[in-house]
Amino acid sequence: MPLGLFALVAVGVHAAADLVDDRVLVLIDALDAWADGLLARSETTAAWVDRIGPLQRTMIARFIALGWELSVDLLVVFPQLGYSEADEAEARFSFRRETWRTLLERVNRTPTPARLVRPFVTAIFSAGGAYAVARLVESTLFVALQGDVAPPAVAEGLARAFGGVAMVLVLASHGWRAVLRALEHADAACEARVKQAKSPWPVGLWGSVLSFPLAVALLLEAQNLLALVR
Amino acid sequence: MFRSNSRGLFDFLAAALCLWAAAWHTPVGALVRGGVAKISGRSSEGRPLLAYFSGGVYDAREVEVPATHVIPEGLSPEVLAIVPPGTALGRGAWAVLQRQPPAMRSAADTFAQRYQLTSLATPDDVATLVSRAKADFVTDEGAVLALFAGPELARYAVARAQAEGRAPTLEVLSRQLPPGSTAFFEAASQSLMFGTAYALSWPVAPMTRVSSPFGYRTHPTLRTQQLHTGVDLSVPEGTHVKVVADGVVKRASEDAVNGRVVIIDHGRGVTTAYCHNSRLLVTTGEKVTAGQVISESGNTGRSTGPHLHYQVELGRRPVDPFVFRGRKASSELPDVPVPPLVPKPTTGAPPALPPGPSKALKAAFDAVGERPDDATEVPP
Repeated sequence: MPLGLFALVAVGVHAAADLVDDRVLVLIDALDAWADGLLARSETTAAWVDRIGPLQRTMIARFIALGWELSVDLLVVFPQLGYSEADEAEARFSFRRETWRTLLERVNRTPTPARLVRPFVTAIFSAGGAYAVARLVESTLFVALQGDVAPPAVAEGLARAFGGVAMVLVLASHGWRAVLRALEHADAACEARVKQAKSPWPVGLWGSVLSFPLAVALLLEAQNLLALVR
Repeated sequence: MFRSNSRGLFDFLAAALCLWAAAWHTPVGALVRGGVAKISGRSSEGRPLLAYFSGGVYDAREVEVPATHVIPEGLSPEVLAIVPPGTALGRGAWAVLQRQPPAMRSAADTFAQRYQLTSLATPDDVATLVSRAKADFVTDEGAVLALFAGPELARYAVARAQAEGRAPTLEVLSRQLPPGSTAFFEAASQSLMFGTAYALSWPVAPMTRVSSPFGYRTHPTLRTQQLHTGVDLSVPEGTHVKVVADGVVKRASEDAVNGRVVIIDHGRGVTTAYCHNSRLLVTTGEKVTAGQVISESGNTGRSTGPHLHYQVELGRRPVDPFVFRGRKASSELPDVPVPPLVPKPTTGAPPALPPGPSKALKAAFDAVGERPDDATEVPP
């Protein structure tokens, strides 16, 4: 289960990183044009102009996107591996039972960037990941079924139905758990900081700052989800 | 801390699906698969890490091939240069089709029969096929994909792209099919890229003298060995520079090296650049149509005399523009012989043009597509 949660959110993060790499390239191009202008002013540095060509710029942009994705994986997705489930008997006799309600109460009482941002971005990444799973199931089934097994129209219908089922299954089984785990992890980190008599605000700030733009980029592509019912 | 009552088969299935998707859709998954393949001694089917950000089209090869290689892997300039005449896209797809395994070529022939074509022996056949198939697959991209991947997969990919509310570009289509379809998209991507490149016209009069060809040379001012990433076309200052195909202005700016420069994005991984202009007539973001005057040539930036540096990039890699200057179909521009490459200048800047002939030459050069009556070369 923890691996499944990690995989689901990581797929969502990659879908988001794949959306922003073109924007990063535009920034790199602009930066390169500015640097070329600067270097060209002196005879000694003029030889360095155009040293970084379009191919290198593209690779730099993708390295940045890859680094961004891996950073978010490390800071935001990695804690999903800490997910654990207690059996009912154990939960019944435990001193402190964390539920959605207790966690949300603390978010309401002492909101911090980590407590607010982590569940939000994890929910977006989970939805993006579930959509990627659905698309993979759908396309793979279509390729496998069409031709000898079933006519293309039947294969397409079946594949789409299974893709939809896969998305519902993943969200129902893993989606809410990923969000709950993100909330629980952020809460635990904030509480630990409070116990040290320190402000919980800086907790997980880098992760929040890096993941928020990716989540927003993915959110702007939410219309893709409608493809499952079209 | 969480209840365990929902553990079970469905959870296991969901976890398995997530891991499957992560293995094929993330760089982390690619790393894991690569590691497993290495340990087990099998060859990995994973793409390079950075290719996970391109959708595998138009520049899929660029992260695998050394930067100095000028043509996408698998197609030498000679192969491209001897492609028989045909419309541009047909030529591109035909050239790529010749490099495919027999099974794919045979499937393409079967596909052609659906459109009343007996074979795909010439680029014209391929062009006809793409033109007819476009009615069923909406765009050139869809039709070319159908040629390599088969009609069912292409139709499915186009339908899913449309369901997402997106234009069925090759990058969008590539995300609709499972990872095993990479070879189809690479073939389609190269076809469209070459097809676009074959359709490029010439920015100045076709017979213009080349003062410095594409390739490695000793830089005239820096005196270092460098790749000359385009061709220098010897034209008088003020000559109209015409854009070689429809596109969008990616950059229209000035710097001390390229001078006043215009870069046009023609789509499908093809861009062209026009450097050392005296005057720019377009702005960044502007849409331009083939033949539109975008600048006046000049001698700005790091330049030793009036000329136009014309550059073509495929998949963000500079290529020799003459590679794509073979004969064109009769419906397009008239045949233009490729001028011989002129040895690089040995020393100093070319002498300035006398004012009289320069004006006449400029007027002649502005009539792109026609050979100047009185001169084929800029007088020394």
